[in-house]
Amino acid sequence: MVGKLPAPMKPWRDNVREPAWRRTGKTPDYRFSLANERTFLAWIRTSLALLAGAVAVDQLAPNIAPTPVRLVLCVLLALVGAGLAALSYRRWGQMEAAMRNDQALPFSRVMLFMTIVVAVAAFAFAVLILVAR
Amino acid sequence: MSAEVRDPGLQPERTTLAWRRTLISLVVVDLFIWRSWLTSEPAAGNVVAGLPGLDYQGLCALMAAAATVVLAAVVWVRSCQLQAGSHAASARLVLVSTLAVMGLGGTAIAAIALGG
Repeated sequence: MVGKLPAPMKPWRDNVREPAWRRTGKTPDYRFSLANERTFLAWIRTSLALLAGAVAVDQLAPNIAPTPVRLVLCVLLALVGAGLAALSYRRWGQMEAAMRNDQALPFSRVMLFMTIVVAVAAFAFAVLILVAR
Repeated sequence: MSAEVRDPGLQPERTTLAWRRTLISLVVVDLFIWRSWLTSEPAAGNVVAGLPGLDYQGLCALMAAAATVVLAAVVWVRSCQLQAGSHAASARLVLVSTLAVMGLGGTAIAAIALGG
């Protein structure tokens, strides 16, 4: 079922190649779509900040912990960063789909998960810094 | 035709700026991975016979640069789209940028594992 398109022109040249959820419902007000896009980019920047933290700690703080511990912590941080990028895309799609079908925006547990992860990581590194002295 | 381009909230402009900020954040990670390669001792094995300096860390650096190029292309395309109108981004564009960041994450993990 093709969604209703804005009057003057089609938004995407290849409408058929959009995922199925993009072809249901109706196109939301462009301001909401752009706001959703900016939110997605903010999440991506958070993910990139985690990646930057992982490589930075690995390179700039080599004495913070015994090498295997440091490697594991940094790799874990990078994994969370990469996973967050995937979650951000999923969240962007869910919000767009909800807007298309005039539903309430679904609650995203990603924020809670991220807060916990960042708090735990900060605590772990604080402990390491104290122990390394 | 351009009724949607005039927007009191300047949303297309803010969205373009958000894409550029994201590219800057990605470049920071890219630079760290390059630093990891350039400050490491040359490893024993060369991946490509003709290029003496290109070990596995060098490969990571090249892949990080590739992720940067991909996202820069996405930013350029999206900026052109936003200048022309205020239509939402296609799912393909958003997916490509996500995959570039995830690829960069994998490269960062490899660089960490190799550098340690």
